[in-house]
Amino acid sequence: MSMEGEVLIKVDHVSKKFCRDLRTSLRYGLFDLGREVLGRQRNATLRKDEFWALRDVSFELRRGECLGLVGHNGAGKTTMLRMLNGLIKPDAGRIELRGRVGALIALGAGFNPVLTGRENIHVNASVLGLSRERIKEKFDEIVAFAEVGEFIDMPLQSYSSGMAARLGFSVAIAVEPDILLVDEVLAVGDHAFRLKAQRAMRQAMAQGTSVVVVSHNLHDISGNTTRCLWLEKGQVRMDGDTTAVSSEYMHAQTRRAASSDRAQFEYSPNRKGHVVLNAVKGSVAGGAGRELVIDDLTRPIELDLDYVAVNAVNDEVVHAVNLVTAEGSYIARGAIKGRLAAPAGEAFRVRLRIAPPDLLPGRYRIEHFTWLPGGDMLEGVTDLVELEVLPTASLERLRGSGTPFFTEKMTDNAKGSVPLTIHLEQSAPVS
Amino acid sequence: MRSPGALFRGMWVDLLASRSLAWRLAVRDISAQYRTSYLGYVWAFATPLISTAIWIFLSMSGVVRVAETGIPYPAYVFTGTMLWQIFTEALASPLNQVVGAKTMLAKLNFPRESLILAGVYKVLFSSAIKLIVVIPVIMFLGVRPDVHQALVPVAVLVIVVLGLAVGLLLAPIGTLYSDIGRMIPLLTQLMMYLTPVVFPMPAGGAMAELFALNPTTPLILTGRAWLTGTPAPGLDAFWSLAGIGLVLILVGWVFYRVTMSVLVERMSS
Repeated sequence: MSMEGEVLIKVDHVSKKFCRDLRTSLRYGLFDLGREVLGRQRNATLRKDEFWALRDVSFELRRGECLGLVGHNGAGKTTMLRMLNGLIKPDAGRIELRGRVGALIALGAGFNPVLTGRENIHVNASVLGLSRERIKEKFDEIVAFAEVGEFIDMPLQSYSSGMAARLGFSVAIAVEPDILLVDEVLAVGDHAFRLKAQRAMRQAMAQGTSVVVVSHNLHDISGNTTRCLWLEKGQVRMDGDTTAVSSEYMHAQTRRAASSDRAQFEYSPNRKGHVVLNAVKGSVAGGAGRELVIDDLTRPIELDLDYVAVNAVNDEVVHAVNLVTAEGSYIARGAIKGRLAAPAGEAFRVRLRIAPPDLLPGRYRIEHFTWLPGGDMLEGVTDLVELEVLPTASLERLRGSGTPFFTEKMTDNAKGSVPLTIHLEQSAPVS
Repeated sequence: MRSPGALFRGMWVDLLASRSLAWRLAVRDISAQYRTSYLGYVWAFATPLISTAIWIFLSMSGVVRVAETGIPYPAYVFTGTMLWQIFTEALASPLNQVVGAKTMLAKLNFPRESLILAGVYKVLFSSAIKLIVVIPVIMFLGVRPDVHQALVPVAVLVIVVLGLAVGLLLAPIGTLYSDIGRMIPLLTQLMMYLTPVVFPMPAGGAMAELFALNPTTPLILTGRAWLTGTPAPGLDAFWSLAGIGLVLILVGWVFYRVTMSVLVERMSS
């Protein structure tokens, strides 16, 4: 191990272009073959049908650091990773790397379905650059980490896809690289294996491995990374501290989502349908629309629900609200009574004000149901709004300046979930 | 190509680094291939066996009149098709190896030489099976044992060298355009009839000149002469082809190496 803080990756004004059309791409490929053979410089201008997949990107990464690459699909993240891996060369600029590069990108590339897990470990580890002796030393460790048990001597085609991916991950992490490139593979396997994989990555970092992670999931990024690079259309939009970048990134995401506001709701199947939800507009301090960014959990979430009554309604109802994680776990719920009255064909508005509980950063959705006294569902929507809670969202509350939560008694017999405080207002029918 | 010194140093280093990986890949492919096959090693000499049978039938039924071959005709055809099969396998090997490993190439960084080397191992393995079969068979067909048979592996090596050289030069372009891969079997088929594989050299005329110009002719003739213990034709052509083959392999290797990153770019990831 060399000294701390040594620069392992230096990316210097790197650009890379790709071609939109396959046929043209192959023809340019043929020209480029000729150029390489003649030892000429790469052409750094765009030819017809070409575009910049990456444009003038620069950054450095030191030993033990972890860089997160974020950006929309097609922003150039994977292209960057492929260049760092030495698979393709930049069209302009330079990339300098020190030490052995390992990639958790194509887990189990080179696996053969007919061969046993044991044989595949040997082949895959060789492909990733482990010597015969090192493979022997590491073999038991790899098998243990992959948790494939007695499947090890069965052909790979009898493995579940999760098992094969676990085996691939275990081989890749056993290579002990100086630079580790990770492309959204931490989502492999069940929850327990994911945690184990994350731990293995953090251990590698503690031992001086530099990591570059590509992810759409800001959870991965905020948990492990020290720095973030936000790529947009091939260019660096922002480079800095993870919290700052991810918060900016999420705001931009929400603005994008708001501009293409979804009109379709996912209705609950057993609703009566006497009233129909036409539109909903949520508003929080972080923005408005059907996708909300929460950067302060002390502020209430305000939801305006615009209905049209198909048939005349005049009922005592219960508004029930569930807060569900992106994975589908119910974590908070609450309900409030109110009266719904509108003649047929009339539009009216219900306003709910919800005090969010102390949520962890991540994505959530809100369900909303209107129950009739007899137990029938008048109306129900399972994706009323989506919430993105920023890592910084609970700071205000921790400082003690916010209002205390759980102010009202829980009105629903939710098992294991947190009660939700709801305030209800209803406008008179709009005529 | 901008710094040849570094290029050749890199080639050497990667070749050394490739040896054990190439071995693994070859073992992987061979064992996977035979594990899913019932007839197994028979496939290594099935093609020559069938074409031998066809040509024996054609000549015996009088459909095709084959000139005097000097040795029993079945032995002549069998040795010819065996050696020709080794040549075509070596020729197609680099392209097959690269195309077969596309996903690996697009996603992983490993010494690219290992693919070619693994291909060579596979060709040599299947050639060895062929030789093990061909020698007893031709003995049975009336060929007497001869000291020259000890030289047969040399002939096989030279055939592999020449096939590999041409194959390496075709591989990069063949990776871009699938036309090359489709053309190879057609052209080798055509070339077989311009080579003394299933019938002897024509005595004279334009055909004889074509046969003589064909670089594979001396290879097949020498290989067969050593196999059957008949007098070999002049060895000058044979050895100069071996030399040319080695030089072409070096050229093809440089070509393969410098073009690889361009090719990977055009593969889907």
